Amino acid sequence: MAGIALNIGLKSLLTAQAALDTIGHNIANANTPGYSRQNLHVSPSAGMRMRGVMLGTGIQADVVRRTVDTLLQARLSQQVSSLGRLDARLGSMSHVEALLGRSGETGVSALLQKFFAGLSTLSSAPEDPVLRSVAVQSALELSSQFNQLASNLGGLRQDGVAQMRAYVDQVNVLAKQIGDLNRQILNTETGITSANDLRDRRDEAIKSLSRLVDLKVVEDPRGAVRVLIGGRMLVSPTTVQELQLSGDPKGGDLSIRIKGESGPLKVGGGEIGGLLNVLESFLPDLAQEVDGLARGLILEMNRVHSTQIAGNGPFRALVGDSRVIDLDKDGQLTDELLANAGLPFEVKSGVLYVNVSDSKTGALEKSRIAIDASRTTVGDLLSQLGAIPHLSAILDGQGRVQVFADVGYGFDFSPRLDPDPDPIGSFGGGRASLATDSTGPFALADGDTLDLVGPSGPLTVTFDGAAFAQIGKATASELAAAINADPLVQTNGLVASAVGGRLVLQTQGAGAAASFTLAGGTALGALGWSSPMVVQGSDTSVDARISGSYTGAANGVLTFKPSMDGVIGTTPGLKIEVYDESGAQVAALDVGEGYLPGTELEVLHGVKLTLGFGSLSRTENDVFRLDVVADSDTSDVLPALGLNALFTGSGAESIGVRADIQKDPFLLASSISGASGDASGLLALLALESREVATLDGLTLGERVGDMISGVGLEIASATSTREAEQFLLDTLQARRDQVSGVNVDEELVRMIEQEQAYNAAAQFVRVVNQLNDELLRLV
Amino acid sequence: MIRPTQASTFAQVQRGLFANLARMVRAQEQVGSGKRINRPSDDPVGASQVLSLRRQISGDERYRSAVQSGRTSLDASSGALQDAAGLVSEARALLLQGMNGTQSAEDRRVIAGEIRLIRGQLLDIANSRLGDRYLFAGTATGVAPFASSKAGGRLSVVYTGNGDSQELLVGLGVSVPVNLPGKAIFAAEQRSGTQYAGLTGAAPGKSADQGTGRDYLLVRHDATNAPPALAAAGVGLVQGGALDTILGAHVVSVDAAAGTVQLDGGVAVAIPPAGDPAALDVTLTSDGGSVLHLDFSAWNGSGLSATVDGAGSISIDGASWTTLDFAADDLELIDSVTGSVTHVDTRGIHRAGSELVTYGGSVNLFDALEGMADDLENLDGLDAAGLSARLDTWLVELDRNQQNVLVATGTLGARSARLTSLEQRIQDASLQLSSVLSSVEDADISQVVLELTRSEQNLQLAQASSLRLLQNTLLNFLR
Repeated sequence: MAGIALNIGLKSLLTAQAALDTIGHNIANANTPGYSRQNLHVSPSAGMRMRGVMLGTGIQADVVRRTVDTLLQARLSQQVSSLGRLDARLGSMSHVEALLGRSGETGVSALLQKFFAGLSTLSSAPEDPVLRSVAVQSALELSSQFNQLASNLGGLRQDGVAQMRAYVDQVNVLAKQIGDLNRQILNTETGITSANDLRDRRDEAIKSLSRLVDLKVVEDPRGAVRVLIGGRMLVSPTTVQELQLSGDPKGGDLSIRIKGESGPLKVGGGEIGGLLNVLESFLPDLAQEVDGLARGLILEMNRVHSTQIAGNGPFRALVGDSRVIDLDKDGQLTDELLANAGLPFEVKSGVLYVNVSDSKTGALEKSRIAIDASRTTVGDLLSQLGAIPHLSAILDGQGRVQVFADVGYGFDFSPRLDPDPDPIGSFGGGRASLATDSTGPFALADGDTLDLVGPSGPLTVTFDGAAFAQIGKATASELAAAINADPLVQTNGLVASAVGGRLVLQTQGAGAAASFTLAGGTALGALGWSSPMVVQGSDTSVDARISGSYTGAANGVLTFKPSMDGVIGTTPGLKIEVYDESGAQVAALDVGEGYLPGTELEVLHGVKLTLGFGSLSRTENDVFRLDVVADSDTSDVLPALGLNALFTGSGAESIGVRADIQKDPFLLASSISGASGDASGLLALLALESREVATLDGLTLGERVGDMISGVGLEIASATSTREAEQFLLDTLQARRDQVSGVNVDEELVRMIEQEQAYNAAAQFVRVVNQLNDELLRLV
Repeated sequence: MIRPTQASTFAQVQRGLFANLARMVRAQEQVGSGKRINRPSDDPVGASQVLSLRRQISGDERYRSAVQSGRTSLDASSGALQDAAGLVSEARALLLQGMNGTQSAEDRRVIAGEIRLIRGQLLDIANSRLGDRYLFAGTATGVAPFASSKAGGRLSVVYTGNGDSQELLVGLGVSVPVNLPGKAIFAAEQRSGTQYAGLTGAAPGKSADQGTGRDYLLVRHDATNAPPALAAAGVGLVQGGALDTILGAHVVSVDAAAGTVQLDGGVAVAIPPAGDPAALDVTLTSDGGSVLHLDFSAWNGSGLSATVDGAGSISIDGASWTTLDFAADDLELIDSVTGSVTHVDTRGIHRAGSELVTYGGSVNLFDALEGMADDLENLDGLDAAGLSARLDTWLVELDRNQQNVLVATGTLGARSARLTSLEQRIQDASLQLSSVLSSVEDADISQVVLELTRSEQNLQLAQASSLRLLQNTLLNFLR
């Protein structure tokens, strides 16, 4: 009996001790993160039949179990994951927000305004060298702000990638830890024993891992867990895989994969997911936006700037900023199509007007170059530019277009009007002059002739079909070239030219004595001429002058013809008829009796004509033409080549201010007319501030910048408020977990007192049993 | 049953303290910067508003400074033009004084000197500068716009600027011209056809003319053809007619009874007796001012009425001469120096002389002044009638130019007034925008301070209560 009783006493002592150990363990770990409260589970030990009675044999300690809600644990790790994602995103985005400047006081937005302010101040005194330097400086500040923003965004990406590497390393450490714990738990847990502390540690590792990535955890019946990321196994009960980061830190796609596997992992959550989102979409999108903004600025500014004249007048030489690239890799640059020559901006089909002016007299010659995006090559453009008198164009060793004017000449691309539209005198000039009534093409036949009697003698011009692209559709310029090619034409004192699609035949000399005769020939019919016809020069030459500036919307050509034969200011009813390109009459100007020569006449859209005294001939088809230009470069070839650009480069990273403008601020183009006090070019640049740009989603430059900044702010604000909600959820879950698994020291103390008393009682029991035994022994 | 644990209690305390502290830090940031929006994420909508307001305000500021610089230039121009207007009316008064027939040639020369002085002053005004820019040069502001040069022996001024205006952007799509090209002020053209001063009887031809400013049509007397009737009466030419100015047919009538001789309807001159040296050269002046010298020393005393013809040549540039044809009504004369083309009706020409031709409405202020000074000094040696005809022409041109100067002064004044009111408007608008900006962006300090105080109190309460909470443990009682 005593054996059993003592045994009961012993067991009860041991059990109370074990319970106290557990309590001690709980108290010790009250503040250990992830620790789950442990409980000693006890049960009465099996009874034994003795003397016909079932006797209890005392207590037995079964198992120490942790109190844990596995479902809650899973939710908690999910929540940690989404919070990790948000934190990673917010961290990077706040950096970006700081980069963009403090709500418009600094940064791109403020500098853009400063740039326009610089131009505006300059426009009040465009000849002031100080204001010019200030304007150029503010352009420089703006462009370097873009450069800095681009490089800072690039830097953020590199930092992000470095951070990502650290995250991936952490994942690998944690995965290994989980794998090790899996093994230890498998080894420890036999039967009903539970590896409580190992499990706690594993749970904690899983929680840390879920802060980094979103994962799925499955526990198998033996107690080991599988950890899956994006559906792939990272940790299995027996193996552990490693994650790997691949990609270039400077740019391009980043990917995370399991070592040895080919496909990238889909990681959406956790810090890695958040950072991946920042690196793959937020930063590139923003960089693209900044880049688009810079591109928009470069293109729109240069579009306007390139067709203006510098503060110190027309150019002697210009070097393009862009480089032509040998895209077809045949070692030749000139055969590249303009639209596909690696230029930073698109070249469209359109026209380019080039003015070449005499530096002394200011006499202007306007030339028109047609550009067909799908046909015109770099070489075509160069040769067309080179074909303009006193102009030459080459491609330098670096693939840049260089344009030069001869000494004593200058060139520009301004839409200004040619003040002297009739240099050859085909409109009442002193030379004997005869034009065709209609514009070409003329239906000539091979071998057609033209019999002429020039001031120095007769001659016959024979047209050879080989000299024409298509003699049945001969153009005026081809005809003029063919006539001038006959040496007899010049020796007999004649010269041919083309004016607005019409063929003009003239004597070389002027005056009443100058005359030639149209004697006959088979070409007459096609040219609309009849013979014999004597064409006389005159002593007075009609001086036709153009002034004003064209305000029309579209480019065009105006052709001026007299309505009848007559004397300016004298013949009643004499009018000048003005035709547009389509041949429609757009104006008729009264210059007959009552017109005082020297009086300005308004033609249309701001174009004014002043005529001097002289006689005009309808019979001889007196004519002159005038290019009216609204946009000198509808092809955008100038901004594409970077000719007469203000900003160089093609994006936020490369934007700059043209180097020679930095050196000489007078090269900042400021006018259409070339006059030193003309600020029309600056006003056109300023107008860009309020112009809606199609490539910027139809916003103005300033609005786009504002949009970008507030867009980032909006994203951060929404992420911040989401984060608050998520944090609250996490806190709630954590509180619930603590309620279930946490240690309450007071509770433990109460249970300690309970166990202490149980121990005391058991000890008392042993003492009593011992006394009983002693009593018994004394009896013996 | 809620089972609070140490960990959850600590976490909660920590959260509470953090939240209160964060609120306090945010309130402090607003107090420190004075701004409600310190970064776009503080209030994205507000931040976007702030950016747009700032854009508008900086635009307004720019417009305001443009308006101010525009006014500086307008006021400078306007001041110069007021001076000019004063000078012009002074010149006009001088001209009127000079036109008074009672003035002696010496008086006229003095007046001419004063007018030349005024012309010089006006030229200086027309070429006045603000800083390095010529005010009245259009946009060609680098070069003096009015250049004086000698053409055909006479000083004339040419406008070398352009007719463009300097536009200044003073609002979205609103620009104001801040200059007036000098051509419109001092050299405006209001063409009215060619005018002849009327000395020689030359008249405008049928065809239109081309020319600017003034020209001098030179009509020369080459020879006098006396009819046989004159010689028969013993009356001869003096020096072969070299001193005469008559051109075309003129009638010499000798009234034997009265002893007088008369050219056309001119003053009858008493014929001096033979032997009187005066009889060797009797000067006859027609009612049109043509002069004929006759020698009456051998006069036989008979009366007569005979037609005397004067032959001559005409030129506009003094270089190429055309023989006068008294039947031509449209003689074309081209000035080889200025390139002007003039058509003359020569049928009415009756005397030689220098005919002032003005291309009406195209003489600039300086040339009008120069021309009138020349004539007040009578450089062409005109008689009273010729002089008065010319001075009348100058008066017309001077009045026209004066009108232009006055109109220009008014235009500039009006523009300056417009800019002043514009500046006021911009100022009002930007003040309003600034107050809107402040209401969006700036922190309401009293509210923020209240918030700061409240969060501070909250924090202190939280700290105190946390302390109480954490102090309570069973251990305090287990002794």
